[in-house]
Amino acid sequence: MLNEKRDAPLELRRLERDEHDAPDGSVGIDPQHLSRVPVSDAAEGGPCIRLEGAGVHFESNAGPVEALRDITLDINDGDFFSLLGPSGCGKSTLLRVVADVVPLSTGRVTVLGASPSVARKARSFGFVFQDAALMPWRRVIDNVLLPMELAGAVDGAARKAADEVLELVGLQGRKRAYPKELSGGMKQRVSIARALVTKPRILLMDEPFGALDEITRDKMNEELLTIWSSTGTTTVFVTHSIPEAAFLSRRVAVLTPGPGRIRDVVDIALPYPRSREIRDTVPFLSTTSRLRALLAGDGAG
Amino acid sequence: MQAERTVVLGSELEGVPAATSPRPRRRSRRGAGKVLWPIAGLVFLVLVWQGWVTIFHVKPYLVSSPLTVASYLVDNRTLFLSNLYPTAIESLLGFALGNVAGILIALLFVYSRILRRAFYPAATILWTVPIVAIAPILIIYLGFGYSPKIAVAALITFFPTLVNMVAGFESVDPQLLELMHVLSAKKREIFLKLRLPSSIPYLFAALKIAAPGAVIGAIVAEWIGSTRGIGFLIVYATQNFQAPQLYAAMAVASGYALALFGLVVLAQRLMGRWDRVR
Repeated sequence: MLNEKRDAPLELRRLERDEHDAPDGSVGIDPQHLSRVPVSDAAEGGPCIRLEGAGVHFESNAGPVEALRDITLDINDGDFFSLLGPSGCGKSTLLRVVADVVPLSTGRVTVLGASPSVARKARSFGFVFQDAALMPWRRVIDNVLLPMELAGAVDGAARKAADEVLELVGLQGRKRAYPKELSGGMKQRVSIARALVTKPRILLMDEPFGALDEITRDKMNEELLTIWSSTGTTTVFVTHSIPEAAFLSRRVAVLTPGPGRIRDVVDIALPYPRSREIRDTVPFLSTTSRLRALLAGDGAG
Repeated sequence: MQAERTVVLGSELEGVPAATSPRPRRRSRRGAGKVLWPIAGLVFLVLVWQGWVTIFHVKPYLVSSPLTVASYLVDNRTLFLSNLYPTAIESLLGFALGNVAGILIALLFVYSRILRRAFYPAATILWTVPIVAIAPILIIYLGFGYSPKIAVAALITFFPTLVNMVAGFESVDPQLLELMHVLSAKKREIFLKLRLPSSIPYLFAALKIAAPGAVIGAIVAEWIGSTRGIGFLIVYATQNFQAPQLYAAMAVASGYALALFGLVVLAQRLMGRWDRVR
């Protein structure tokens, strides 16, 4: 249905999608009313995000640095895909290549069949940063509305969308609060709501729960899976936590440093929906031990 | 205390609004202390001053007692008010001019690396030239009216504001800059929605330096060449050994500067929500 609009100007397509995705107006905690018809790009040929022989070089004070080398990767539409690796392996850089923040030095990258820059201007992805990156002078609701402001105007539909995503992350009651009045977990929820408010096709997350305590982190992991399954948003998740990657992902790319390369891409065969109990099962533990072995394989870990 | 913490943590986990913290009450108690202790300190110092003059019989033409100064001030209030008026005009206009120039040039410096490289050192050199040397030049050039005084007050406020605002416009959280890029924000939007709000705490830091600075600038300029104003009163009193008048003029000048400073603090309070950075 959506694919028919592929040829329309991007701006128009976005507006039409908003209209198309307008919720039925039902009120309730059920996040289902944010869902939309799953778009299958794969059926049309070509994955959601594709990297071919991608490499990134930086100029630093100590001379040129090779951050990423020869990354070839397909991320399918609707996937939950994690980039797992130690600090300095270039996983965040890879995410920023997709987000049109870092340019490629070699190779090719396409996002939804076009360049990252086109995808960015079409507001095709949301980005969640490591430490929430909220504007301290804006209330929760105004932080969530920021992408709407920058996309055009804040009208009734935008406010409704903001209310919905805040409900989705369980912060409906805190919309008038300032970020400094919130805990770390709540801030990150606001950040996720902000990334989802424009209903992007792709959600890019850069170690979003890295600064949280383990209990909060486990809870956020479960919530994120609920959000993912209810919105169907393709999610690319950067982490250095093996259990986190195993718990969340359908596929995990294991990266090794110096320069950052993909060691292997692992399919996580655990069925969805996953709950926290799964962490104590044998299949889960054998998955994590396999990921751990891959990470240690290069002798770097 | 322990119990409260558990409640807040628990509610966070459940995604329920956290219980109201006991902060407001504690703040109001601290607020009373904020006012009372400075007043107590001031009263103590004035008492010491009065006691010193009374007990050691210090000659009134050398050091006036607080009581003498106070009664002189009340008896001659029209004299002080009519001389405060020009000083107030000069310092307020200088304050406005210096800050506006400082903010605008800071903007130029932030957006043009070349302009910054070329003129930041020049601005710094201007700041190092003693103001008492610049004031006579300005008076020769601009005459004896308001303008040289305004210029001196503006000069004194300009540089601290420039330095603070350059730092302020650049004090942006790099993740927020990246966010604005990912959200395809235009340059104008990045400025209005990110750089400007990020700079507000720096602006108030600058204004707090500038407010008393502008008053000092106006007084120094009057001191060098004028027939009216608090600066003129100070020169007149000194040359005529009028200790009470000198002390009263000093009190009026510092009271006025303090009032300006207070206005800046008040404005900062009113803009509280913009001042929540970090």
